[in-house]
Amino acid sequence: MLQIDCPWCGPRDQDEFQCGGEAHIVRPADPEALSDVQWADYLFNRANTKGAHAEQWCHSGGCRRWFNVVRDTVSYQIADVYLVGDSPPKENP
Amino acid sequence: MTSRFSPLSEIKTPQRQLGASDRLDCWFQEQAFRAHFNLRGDPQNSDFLQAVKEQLGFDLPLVPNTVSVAGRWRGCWLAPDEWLLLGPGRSEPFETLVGDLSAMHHSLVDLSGGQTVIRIGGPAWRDVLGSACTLDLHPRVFEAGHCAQTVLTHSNVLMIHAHDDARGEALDIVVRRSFADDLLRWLIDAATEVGFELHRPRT
Repeated sequence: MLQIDCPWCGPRDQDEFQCGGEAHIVRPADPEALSDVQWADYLFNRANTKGAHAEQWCHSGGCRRWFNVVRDTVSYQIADVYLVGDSPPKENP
Repeated sequence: MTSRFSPLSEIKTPQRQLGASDRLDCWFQEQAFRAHFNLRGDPQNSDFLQAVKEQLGFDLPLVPNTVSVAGRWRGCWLAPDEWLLLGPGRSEPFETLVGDLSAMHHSLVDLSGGQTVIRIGGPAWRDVLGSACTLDLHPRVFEAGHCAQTVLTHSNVLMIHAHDDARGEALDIVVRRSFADDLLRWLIDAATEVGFELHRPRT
Protein backbone atom coordinates (compact mmCIF):
# COMPACT_ATOMS: atom_id res chain seq x y z
CA MET A 1 0.00 0.00 0.00
CA LEU A 2 1.18 3.51 -0.78
CA GLN A 3 1.63 6.03 1.93
CA ILE A 4 0.54 9.44 0.69
CA ASP A 5 1.47 12.67 2.40
CA CYS A 6 -1.75 14.69 2.48
CA PRO A 7 -0.75 18.38 2.40
CA TRP A 8 -3.20 19.02 5.26
CA CYS A 9 -3.46 15.87 7.37
CA GLY A 10 0.01 14.40 6.97
CA PRO A 11 1.04 10.89 5.89
CA ARG A 12 -1.86 8.45 5.56
CA ASP A 13 -2.55 5.08 4.00
CA GLN A 14 -3.63 4.92 0.38
CA ASP A 15 -6.96 3.44 1.61
CA GLU A 16 -8.05 6.89 2.66
CA PHE A 17 -7.53 8.42 -0.79
CA GLN A 18 -9.14 8.35 -4.19
CA CYS A 19 -7.18 8.94 -7.34
CA GLY A 20 -8.71 11.40 -9.82
CA GLY A 21 -6.43 10.70 -12.77
CA GLU A 22 -4.10 12.98 -14.66
CA ALA A 23 -3.68 16.50 -13.30
CA HIS A 24 -3.43 19.84 -15.09
CA ILE A 25 -5.96 19.09 -17.81
CA VAL A 26 -7.45 22.47 -18.64
CA ARG A 27 -11.04 22.68 -19.76
CA PRO A 28 -11.24 24.37 -23.17
CA ALA A 29 -12.26 28.01 -22.84
CA ASP A 30 -14.75 27.77 -25.69
CA PRO A 31 -16.10 24.20 -25.91
CA GLU A 32 -18.64 25.18 -28.61
CA ALA A 33 -15.81 25.95 -31.00
CA LEU A 34 -14.24 22.49 -30.75
CA SER A 35 -14.67 19.73 -33.27
CA ASP A 36 -15.94 16.37 -32.03
CA VAL A 37 -12.42 14.99 -32.32
CA GLN A 38 -10.94 17.79 -30.21
CA TRP A 39 -13.70 17.45 -27.61
CA ALA A 40 -13.28 13.68 -27.40
CA ASP A 41 -9.56 14.20 -27.04
CA TYR A 42 -10.16 16.55 -24.10
CA LEU A 43 -12.64 14.15 -22.48
CA PHE A 44 -11.05 10.77 -22.99
CA ASN A 45 -7.43 10.82 -24.10
CA ARG A 46 -4.81 10.79 -21.39
CA ALA A 47 -1.04 10.59 -21.40
CA ASN A 48 0.22 7.08 -20.75
CA THR A 49 3.33 8.24 -18.98
CA LYS A 50 6.17 5.99 -18.03
CA GLY A 51 7.94 7.69 -15.16
CA ALA A 52 6.96 10.84 -13.29
CA HIS A 53 3.23 11.44 -13.67
CA ALA A 54 1.25 14.34 -12.18
CA GLU A 55 -2.12 13.17 -10.92
CA GLN A 56 -4.97 14.36 -8.74
CA TRP A 57 -5.78 12.71 -5.44
CA CYS A 58 -8.57 13.34 -2.96
CA HIS A 59 -8.23 12.60 0.75
CA SER A 60 -11.78 11.26 0.88
CA GLY A 61 -11.29 9.50 4.22
CA GLY A 62 -9.96 12.63 5.88
CA CYS A 63 -10.13 16.31 5.02
CA ARG A 64 -11.86 15.62 1.65
CA ARG A 65 -9.60 18.05 -0.21
CA TRP A 66 -8.11 17.54 -3.66
CA PHE A 67 -4.41 17.97 -4.24
CA ASN A 68 -1.77 16.98 -6.77
CA VAL A 69 0.80 14.24 -6.55
CA VAL A 70 3.79 13.46 -8.75
CA ARG A 71 4.10 9.69 -8.78
CA ASP A 72 6.52 7.52 -10.70
CA THR A 73 4.41 5.04 -12.64
CA VAL A 74 7.23 2.51 -12.69
CA SER A 75 8.44 2.54 -9.10
CA TYR A 76 5.25 4.02 -7.58
CA GLN A 77 7.49 6.36 -5.66
CA ILE A 78 5.82 9.67 -4.81
CA ALA A 79 8.20 12.48 -5.65
CA ASP A 80 6.06 15.47 -4.75
CA VAL A 81 2.77 16.60 -3.29
CA TYR A 82 1.40 20.09 -3.94
CA LEU A 83 -1.86 22.00 -3.70
CA VAL A 84 -4.41 22.43 -6.43
CA GLY A 85 -3.63 25.65 -8.30
CA ASP A 86 0.10 25.37 -7.70
CA SER A 87 2.44 24.65 -10.58
CA PRO A 88 4.12 21.29 -10.77
CA PRO A 89 7.73 21.28 -9.61
CA LYS A 90 10.14 22.20 -12.39
CA GLU A 91 12.02 18.93 -12.69
CA ASN A 92 8.74 17.06 -13.26
CA PRO A 93 6.18 17.33 -16.07
CA MET B 1 -41.20 15.91 22.19
CA THR B 2 -40.72 12.72 20.24
CA SER B 3 -38.57 10.07 21.82
CA ARG B 4 -34.98 9.74 20.65
CA PHE B 5 -33.17 6.52 20.00
CA SER B 6 -29.45 6.07 20.13
CA PRO B 7 -28.04 4.20 17.11
CA LEU B 8 -26.45 1.87 19.65
CA SER B 9 -29.61 1.03 21.54
CA GLU B 10 -29.44 -2.44 19.98
CA ILE B 11 -26.31 -3.19 21.99
CA LYS B 12 -27.95 -1.74 25.09
CA THR B 13 -25.09 0.65 25.65
CA PRO B 14 -26.43 4.16 25.68
CA GLN B 15 -25.23 6.05 28.70
CA ARG B 16 -24.21 2.78 30.31
CA GLN B 17 -20.79 1.45 30.92
CA LEU B 18 -19.63 -1.71 29.29
CA GLY B 19 -16.53 -3.35 30.55
CA ALA B 20 -14.78 -6.33 31.97
CA SER B 21 -16.31 -6.86 35.36
CA ASP B 22 -13.17 -6.79 37.48
CA ARG B 23 -10.37 -5.01 35.69
CA LEU B 24 -11.36 -2.25 33.34
CA ASP B 25 -8.52 -2.36 30.86
CA CYS B 26 -10.91 -1.02 28.32
CA TRP B 27 -14.37 0.48 28.50
CA PHE B 28 -16.85 1.94 26.06
CA GLN B 29 -19.52 4.50 26.56
CA GLU B 30 -21.70 6.26 24.09
CA GLN B 31 -21.88 10.01 24.33
CA ALA B 32 -25.39 10.07 22.95
CA PHE B 33 -27.50 13.02 21.84
CA ARG B 34 -24.71 15.58 21.67
CA ALA B 35 -25.06 18.53 19.34
CA HIS B 36 -22.93 18.16 16.20
CA PHE B 37 -22.59 21.11 13.85
CA ASN B 38 -20.53 21.30 10.72
CA LEU B 39 -19.24 24.84 10.32
CA ARG B 40 -17.62 26.16 7.18
CA GLY B 41 -16.28 29.63 6.66
CA ASP B 42 -13.31 31.68 5.56
CA PRO B 43 -10.42 31.30 8.02
CA GLN B 44 -8.93 34.55 6.61
CA ASN B 45 -12.03 36.45 7.76
CA SER B 46 -11.26 37.74 11.24
CA ASP B 47 -14.91 38.68 11.86
CA PHE B 48 -15.87 35.06 11.29
CA LEU B 49 -13.25 33.76 13.73
CA GLN B 50 -14.15 36.44 16.24
CA ALA B 51 -17.87 35.59 16.14
CA VAL B 52 -17.12 32.00 17.12
CA LYS B 53 -14.68 33.06 19.81
CA GLU B 54 -17.15 35.48 21.36
CA GLN B 55 -19.95 32.97 21.67
CA LEU B 56 -18.23 29.63 22.17
CA GLY B 57 -15.11 30.91 23.89
CA PHE B 58 -12.41 29.34 21.75
CA ASP B 59 -10.40 30.20 18.67
CA LEU B 60 -11.31 27.90 15.80
CA PRO B 61 -8.30 25.63 15.33
CA LEU B 62 -6.39 26.58 12.19
CA VAL B 63 -3.68 23.95 12.61
CA PRO B 64 -4.70 20.63 10.98
CA ASN B 65 -5.79 17.84 13.33
CA THR B 66 -6.18 19.98 16.43
CA VAL B 67 -9.07 20.73 18.77
CA SER B 68 -10.07 23.83 20.71
CA VAL B 69 -12.06 23.45 23.90
CA ALA B 70 -13.97 25.92 26.04
CA GLY B 71 -16.43 24.76 28.66
CA ARG B 72 -18.68 22.13 27.15
CA TRP B 73 -18.04 23.08 23.53
CA ARG B 74 -15.31 21.65 21.34
CA GLY B 75 -14.22 22.78 17.90
CA CYS B 76 -12.41 20.16 15.81
CA TRP B 77 -10.43 20.87 12.67
CA LEU B 78 -11.85 18.95 9.70
CA ALA B 79 -10.40 20.82 6.73
CA PRO B 80 -8.81 24.24 6.07
CA ASP B 81 -12.24 25.90 6.04
CA GLU B 82 -14.31 23.34 7.89
CA TRP B 83 -14.84 22.47 11.57
CA LEU B 84 -17.00 20.25 13.70
CA LEU B 85 -18.60 21.96 16.68
CA LEU B 86 -19.47 19.46 19.40
CA GLY B 87 -21.50 20.59 22.36
CA PRO B 88 -24.36 20.04 24.73
CA GLY B 89 -27.17 21.28 22.52
CA ARG B 90 -28.93 24.09 20.73
CA SER B 91 -29.00 26.55 23.57
CA GLU B 92 -27.29 29.79 24.41
CA PRO B 93 -24.66 30.74 23.40
CA PHE B 94 -25.13 28.67 20.29
CA GLU B 95 -28.31 30.42 19.17
CA THR B 96 -26.54 33.78 19.44
CA LEU B 97 -23.74 32.45 17.26
CA VAL B 98 -26.26 31.47 14.59
CA GLY B 99 -27.51 35.05 14.61
CA ASP B 100 -24.03 36.57 14.54
CA LEU B 101 -22.95 34.41 11.62
CA SER B 102 -26.04 35.14 9.54
CA ALA B 103 -24.51 38.35 8.22
CA MET B 104 -21.39 36.66 6.82
CA HIS B 105 -20.48 34.05 4.27
CA HIS B 106 -20.64 30.70 6.04
CA SER B 107 -22.35 27.34 6.24
CA LEU B 108 -23.65 25.79 9.43
CA VAL B 109 -25.25 22.37 9.20
CA ASP B 110 -26.87 20.46 12.04
CA LEU B 111 -25.59 16.87 11.97
CA SER B 112 -26.75 15.96 15.48
CA GLY B 113 -29.18 13.26 14.38
CA GLY B 114 -26.75 11.83 11.84
CA GLN B 115 -23.78 10.91 13.95
CA THR B 116 -22.87 9.84 17.44
CA VAL B 117 -19.82 9.63 19.68
CA ILE B 118 -18.36 6.41 21.04
CA ARG B 119 -15.99 7.02 23.93
CA ILE B 120 -13.32 4.41 24.55
CA GLY B 121 -10.92 4.49 27.47
CA GLY B 122 -8.97 2.46 29.96
CA PRO B 123 -5.25 1.61 30.00
CA ALA B 124 -5.58 -0.58 26.91
CA TRP B 125 -7.55 1.69 24.60
CA ARG B 126 -4.55 2.37 22.38
CA ASP B 127 -3.98 -1.36 21.91
CA VAL B 128 -7.64 -1.90 21.00
CA LEU B 129 -7.56 0.93 18.48
CA GLY B 130 -4.23 -0.28 17.19
CA SER B 131 -5.82 -3.43 15.87
CA ALA B 132 -7.80 -1.36 13.37
CA CYS B 133 -6.05 1.96 13.00
CA THR B 134 -2.74 2.59 11.28
CA LEU B 135 -2.28 6.10 12.68
CA ASP B 136 0.35 6.64 15.31
CA LEU B 137 -1.62 6.92 18.56
CA HIS B 138 1.39 6.95 20.83
CA PRO B 139 0.94 9.59 23.56
CA ARG B 140 4.07 11.29 22.27
CA VAL B 141 2.27 12.01 19.01
CA PHE B 142 -1.45 11.85 19.72
CA GLU B 143 -2.15 13.75 22.93
CA ALA B 144 -4.60 16.22 24.41
CA GLY B 145 -5.73 18.77 21.85
CA HIS B 146 -5.32 16.42 18.91
CA CYS B 147 -7.86 14.89 16.59
CA ALA B 148 -7.66 12.93 13.35
CA GLN B 149 -10.01 11.87 10.62
CA THR B 150 -9.40 8.43 9.29
CA VAL B 151 -11.00 5.22 8.09
CA LEU B 152 -11.56 2.78 10.92
CA THR B 153 -12.80 -0.66 9.87
CA HIS B 154 -14.41 0.76 6.71
CA SER B 155 -16.11 3.62 8.57
CA ASN B 156 -15.10 7.24 8.18
CA VAL B 157 -14.50 8.56 11.66
CA LEU B 158 -13.15 11.54 13.51
CA MET B 159 -11.07 10.55 16.52
CA ILE B 160 -10.66 13.16 19.26
CA HIS B 161 -8.35 12.87 22.21
CA ALA B 162 -10.62 13.36 25.21
CA HIS B 163 -10.61 13.53 28.96
CA ASP B 164 -13.34 11.66 30.79
CA ASP B 165 -14.24 13.44 34.02
CA ALA B 166 -14.69 10.18 35.88
CA ARG B 167 -12.08 7.94 34.31
CA GLY B 168 -9.31 10.04 32.83
CA GLU B 169 -7.81 9.80 29.37
CA ALA B 170 -10.11 8.56 26.65
CA LEU B 171 -10.78 8.76 22.94
CA ASP B 172 -13.97 10.03 21.35
CA ILE B 173 -14.84 8.46 18.03
CA VAL B 174 -17.33 10.48 16.02
CA VAL B 175 -19.04 8.16 13.57
CA ARG B 176 -22.04 8.27 11.24
CA ARG B 177 -25.14 6.90 12.83
CA SER B 178 -25.56 3.96 10.47
CA PHE B 179 -21.95 2.83 10.97
CA ALA B 180 -21.99 3.17 14.76
CA ASP B 181 -23.39 -0.26 15.53
CA ASP B 182 -20.94 -2.04 13.22
CA LEU B 183 -17.98 -0.05 14.53
CA LEU B 184 -18.79 -0.63 18.19
CA ARG B 185 -19.28 -4.37 17.64
CA TRP B 186 -15.94 -4.48 15.83
CA LEU B 187 -14.19 -2.64 18.66
CA ILE B 188 -15.82 -4.83 21.30
CA ASP B 189 -14.56 -7.86 19.43
CA ALA B 190 -11.06 -6.36 19.28
CA ALA B 191 -11.24 -5.55 22.99
CA THR B 192 -11.86 -9.16 24.05
CA GLU B 193 -8.12 -9.56 23.51
CA VAL B 194 -7.46 -7.30 26.50
CA GLY B 195 -10.03 -8.96 28.70
CA PHE B 196 -13.13 -7.02 27.81
CA GLU B 197 -16.45 -8.78 28.36
CA LEU B 198 -19.85 -7.61 27.30
CA HIS B 199 -22.12 -7.83 30.30
CA ARG B 200 -25.31 -6.31 31.51
CA PRO B 201 -24.83 -3.61 34.08
CA ARG B 202 -25.50 -4.77 37.60
CA THR B 203 -28.92 -3.78 38.77
